[in-house]
Amino acid sequence: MLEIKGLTKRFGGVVAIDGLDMTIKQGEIVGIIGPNGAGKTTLFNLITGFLRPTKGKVLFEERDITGHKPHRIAAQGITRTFQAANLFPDFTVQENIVAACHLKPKVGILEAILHTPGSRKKREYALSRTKEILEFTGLDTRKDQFAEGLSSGWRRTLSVAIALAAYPRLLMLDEPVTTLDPERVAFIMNLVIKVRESGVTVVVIEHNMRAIMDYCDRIVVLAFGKKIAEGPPEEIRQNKDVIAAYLGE
Amino acid sequence: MDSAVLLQSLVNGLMAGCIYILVAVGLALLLSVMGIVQLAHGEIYMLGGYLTYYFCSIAGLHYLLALLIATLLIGGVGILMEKVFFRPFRHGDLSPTVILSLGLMLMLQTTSVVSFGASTKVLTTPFPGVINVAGISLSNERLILILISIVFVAGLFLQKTEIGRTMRAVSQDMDAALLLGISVDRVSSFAMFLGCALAAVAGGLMGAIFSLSPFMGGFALMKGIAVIVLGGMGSIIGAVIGGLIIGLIDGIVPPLLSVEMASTIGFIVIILILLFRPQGIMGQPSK
Amino acid sequence: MSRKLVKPLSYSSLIIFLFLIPLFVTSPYYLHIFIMAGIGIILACSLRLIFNSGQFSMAHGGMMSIGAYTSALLMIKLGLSIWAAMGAGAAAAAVLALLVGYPLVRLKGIYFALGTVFLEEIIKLIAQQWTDLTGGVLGLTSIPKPNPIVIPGLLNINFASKVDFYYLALVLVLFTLLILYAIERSSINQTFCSIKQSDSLAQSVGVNTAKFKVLAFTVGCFFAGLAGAFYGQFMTVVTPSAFGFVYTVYIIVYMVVGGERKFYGPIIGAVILTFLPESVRVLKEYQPYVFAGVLMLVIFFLPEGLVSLPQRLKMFIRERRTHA
Repeated sequence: MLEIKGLTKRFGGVVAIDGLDMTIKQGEIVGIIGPNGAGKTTLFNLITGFLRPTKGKVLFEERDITGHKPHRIAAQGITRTFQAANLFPDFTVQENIVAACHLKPKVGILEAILHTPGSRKKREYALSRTKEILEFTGLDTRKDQFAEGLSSGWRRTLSVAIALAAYPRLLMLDEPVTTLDPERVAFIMNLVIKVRESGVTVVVIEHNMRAIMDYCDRIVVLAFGKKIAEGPPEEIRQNKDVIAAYLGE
Repeated sequence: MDSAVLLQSLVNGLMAGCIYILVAVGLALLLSVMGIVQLAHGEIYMLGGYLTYYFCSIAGLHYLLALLIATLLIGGVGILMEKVFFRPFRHGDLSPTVILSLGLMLMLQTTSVVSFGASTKVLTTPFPGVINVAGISLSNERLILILISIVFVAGLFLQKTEIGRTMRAVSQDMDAALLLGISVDRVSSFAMFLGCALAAVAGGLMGAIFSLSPFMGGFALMKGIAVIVLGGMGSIIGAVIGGLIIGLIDGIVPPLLSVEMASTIGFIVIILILLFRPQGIMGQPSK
Repeated sequence: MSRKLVKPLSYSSLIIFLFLIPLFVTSPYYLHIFIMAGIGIILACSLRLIFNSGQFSMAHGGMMSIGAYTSALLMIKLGLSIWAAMGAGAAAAAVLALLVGYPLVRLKGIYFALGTVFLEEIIKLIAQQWTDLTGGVLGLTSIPKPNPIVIPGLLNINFASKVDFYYLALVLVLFTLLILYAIERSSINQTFCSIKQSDSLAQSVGVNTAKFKVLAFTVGCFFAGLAGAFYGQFMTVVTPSAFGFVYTVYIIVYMVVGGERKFYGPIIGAVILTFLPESVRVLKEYQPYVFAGVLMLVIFFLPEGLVSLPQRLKMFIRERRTHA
């Protein structure tokens, strides 16, 4: 589904990602781990268009999306969350998700301003989809709370819900459960399983080893911008290079 | 063009450039270290001129001494302004600082009008004893020397010394600097002091060369902004380069063409450079 | 009375009241102030639209200039009617906004603001220098009065008095507010607000933030141009320094002091801050102190603007009660 060929990103003299090759197959849950500074978030940024690669290609469903702008890539079917769990702080939980339904149905500008019946119907569709997402993610009880006031556990859940609302076929989560307590970790990771069951492929960056090992089909390990290992959790757990990379940090 | 005139224009341009640099560097400092838009910066410059005038022409002090006192005083005023007005709004929403600095601008301008009158003033015998009236070019040379050394020292200061480095740290990330144990408050105070002092010196010098008016601040503010836009937002070195360029244009074009054309050509140059380098000469590309 | 009727009813009565004002207020001096307040409303509300998308624009004064000069020139040189001229003035501002919008949008925060200041200065400079077209520093004078509106037997407005200009201003204000309010209530506004709160998050869910920001900028500048065109008509003189940097800052002040968060915030700000200087006119040169003082007080004690006053008072009273 997603193919990365020879991806390289240089910042001045620093090579953040070095000739990376990677494939993601449809329906997988792939975990990406690695010591700090390995380039994990940079990889996400490169795939989703927030950074332009210095070299290399990103192909999604056989189409070249290298260097496209983030909103176009979202329209193609890839959405993501941010390490800082970006939200719309002044919106309520519900408004956050409604905002994420922007892509479909497409409301024309003139249409919206004139408040045509067509635009109102489209709005209702967005609201019903929002309701689905709220229930799917367990946020429906908090739907009128302002995003700003949420606890960190719910913030992470909301950021996943936002990315989910934007019709992804590939969902990329950047540290969704880091620093959360085990209950919350399980909640969100089970959510990820549900997401996969609904037909969405998931890629997760995480530091929480438990979460990764227990829930991912396959793990890719990055260090210093390169892939140093790849495989099912049991293999990675015992991989000498991986252990060395982590100990060395 | 007559070579003497050319030389004179170059010198004038250099001199103007130095004044612009002083104002722009001050403004850029406040912009980057404190993250505030200081619209009253022009009024600080104006106050520098007026205070120098007061100490020199009215209190009878030697010009340079008057300039020094005015500068230090205004630097102090800057620190006060920072503590009272700007501190809560550092690196935050722009609107409050714009409005605050507008309020300050109005107050300072009004105070000047009320105290000194709204008409233009000429600083009488600006450099008694310091500059000989022998040939204009000579007096300007001295001036430029003073200015260049100020800017040079300030630049060196910022690059090499610890306070310079801490200022750059705060400008890049205030929260990170706090975590590193940097006293952001002290850095802000110092940046404010330095920024206002630079503007005050510029005003004092300018007032001596030309004339004073309570409304001369607007001109300085606009030039400062143009220099920052040209030189690169957030770059002190860029402000120096930009100031020199604009100053030289303002010096050379008027004898050749006209005073108005100087501003026009200045803007055209800026636009051309921005077309190729939208972030300014030394600026960081955005995003 | 049914709840649904209260709002439209009070708005309609307000509008009717506004139309009747010239019956009570006959002094041209005061009508002038009303008209200036109206212009302020158009400017402050349209600026708020731009700010709603997260852009700190300081180009509004410059856009007024474009509107004023375009409209005046079209009337003087081509003899266009006022309606066409004003429309063209507003359109010219919008076109310029569209052209510079895309490169400007790439700048962040303060630097976008500086870029707009710069833009404004360029406009002023061109107005000063292109003497053949714009009359240079002295500007354009003797702009023809608006064409009379004649509906035989009913209306004969020949714009000879301030009253007629008052009504024109009122119509323009209502027109502007109607459109801006329609945008405010649409999903487009939600998109703007999402961009303002987190540009990258908005992009990640498929919002073309650049497009929407330019849209907000263009529409906002359209109304700035409209206000400028009207202003030129009203004062019959257009000069380069009329709509400078300082005026732009005043518009921002109207908006922030009134309250950026609510739609009617800028309206309140524009009205109060237009009438305030007039009421302390007796202080003469000390007058700016009052204005500046009000600004500082609001920023420190009512950062959300005057619209938050009722809310703040309620909280204040409630706190007092619980302590009593």
